[in-house]
Amino acid sequence: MEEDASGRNMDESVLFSLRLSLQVAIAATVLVVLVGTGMSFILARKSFRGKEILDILLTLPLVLPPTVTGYYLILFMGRNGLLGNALFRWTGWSIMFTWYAAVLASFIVALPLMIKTTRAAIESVDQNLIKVSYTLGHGELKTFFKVILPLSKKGIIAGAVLSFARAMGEFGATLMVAGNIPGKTNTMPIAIYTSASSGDWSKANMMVVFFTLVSAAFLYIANKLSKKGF
Amino acid sequence: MIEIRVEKDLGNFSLNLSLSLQKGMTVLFGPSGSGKTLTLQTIAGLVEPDSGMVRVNGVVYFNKKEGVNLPIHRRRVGYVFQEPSLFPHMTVFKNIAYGISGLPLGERNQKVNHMIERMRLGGLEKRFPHQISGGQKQRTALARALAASPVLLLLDEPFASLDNPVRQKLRLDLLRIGREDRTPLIFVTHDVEEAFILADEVVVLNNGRVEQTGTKEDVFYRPQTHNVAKFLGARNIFHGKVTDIRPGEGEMTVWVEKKGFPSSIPYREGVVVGDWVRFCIRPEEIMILKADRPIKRNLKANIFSGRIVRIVEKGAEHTLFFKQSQDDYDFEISISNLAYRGLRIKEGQMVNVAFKWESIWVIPEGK
Repeated sequence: MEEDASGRNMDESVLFSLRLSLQVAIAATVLVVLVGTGMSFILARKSFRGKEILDILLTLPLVLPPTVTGYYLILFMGRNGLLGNALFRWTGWSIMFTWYAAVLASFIVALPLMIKTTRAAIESVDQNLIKVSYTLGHGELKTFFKVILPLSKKGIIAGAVLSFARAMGEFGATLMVAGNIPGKTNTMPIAIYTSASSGDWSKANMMVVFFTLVSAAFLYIANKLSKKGF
Repeated sequence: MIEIRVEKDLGNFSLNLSLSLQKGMTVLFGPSGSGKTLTLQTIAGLVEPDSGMVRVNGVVYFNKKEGVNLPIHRRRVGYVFQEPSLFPHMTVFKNIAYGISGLPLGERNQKVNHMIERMRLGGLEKRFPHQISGGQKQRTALARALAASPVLLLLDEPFASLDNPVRQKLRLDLLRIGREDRTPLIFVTHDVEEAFILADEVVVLNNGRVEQTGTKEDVFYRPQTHNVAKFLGARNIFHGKVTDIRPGEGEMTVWVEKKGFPSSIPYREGVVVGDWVRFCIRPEEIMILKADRPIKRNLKANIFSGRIVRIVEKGAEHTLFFKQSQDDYDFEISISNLAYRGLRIKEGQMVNVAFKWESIWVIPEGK
């Protein structure tokens, strides 16, 4: 069997790409849920100067082309970038062209999706319930965990599902910051692109089928979970 | 002891009141939009006043000048909303236990079970809010607020959305709790009957201001302003010019311009001929004199002859509209069904009615 640049044969490299995509998507989704829920709470319940601007900044990745988002990420995280520079000087390590960069890219593009759904869910929690919780001696944090969070569950799960899906399918920004290094950063969408553009149809077909099945299975499970009310 | 002095401006409405409330059940009474709910909210901390002070049992909850504004969750003020606002994702038991989650398990369960018994919720512990009736929901909401041993309990028209029999029962429950716990209660309502049943003291609000405070008898029989008389159902309020005063006998005569009749009413200190005064008489206090019975000579009353122009059946009572002038009607008279049947009155019939002296109340503010 032929080998690719990383020394893997076709089956192995397909499995690698699938595993990498799942790994990146899961890591990104975990981060998105944690950060997204927190941000949604702040946006839904607090008012402060610059709130509008924050909202726009967080939503931008939703409307910008992924390559533009990727470009901004390079500006920030590249070796000579705002943060990347400091990171490199401090640790001698750069995030560029690692799978962490793929996670970062997926995180940035999926975050607005999570925030949109979660914020709406939090805002739809009956105000009176929150007031009652306060009068019963529970402060803001306790009320968040005991009342707001449980009652926003559906929205949060929906956001997580959307984010996972988006992360799995991330291509443009990922390509720009993580690159297309076989055996290291070639997530499924990138691998499919590579195979298709080099005419390797059998490999591309196999990956597409795999990817579709795994995604469908995930959606099925997610639907089941959200119906049960968890 | 609850002391409130608050001002709050909300654009087209402003609250400006000063109250000192004792233990027991205080009813905040007034028409919709008079600021009753807003007042409760400033006490609970749900709304921050623009200025003033709120002090409960010596503890300062709010003081604008000193920059004190105790957060809601530290005030220990229970609040029962008009909609039960039970946590939909918790059982009845868990809802009631919510305010005492800091207690050790055994003590907590004991308290909750005690509340369940007191509020007649036995058997419903494991049910969820959507599985119980409106009355049960409100009882749960009450139990939940009381379980946390608040220093003060605020209730915002909690029974408004319930059926009458359920309301009656819950009012009695509340009275019982008030007596047993000795937690001060502030109850908001716009229902006169409810105010009368529950109140130790009544505060009548109108347009963000206090019109009168006093016992229920005070506001009911001795309203200090025109508005209080109106809100409490004194449906016959007259505006008249004083034509004669007899201070020695405690009487004065007024001429009711709009209706075109004179009336003899209790004299009020300082009134002189030519002054305008307002007086009122409650519909159920007007006597209908039986046609066949002679009028007692020593009956100190104003007697009027006229026609009953309209009769409205109200279920447990009848309202009769009496007319002697050119106006639509002059007096509204309320009588029980029993009395109505005994009098055998029909629409269009001529009758004599009397204002008994003791039933007439001169409104101090009336100018």
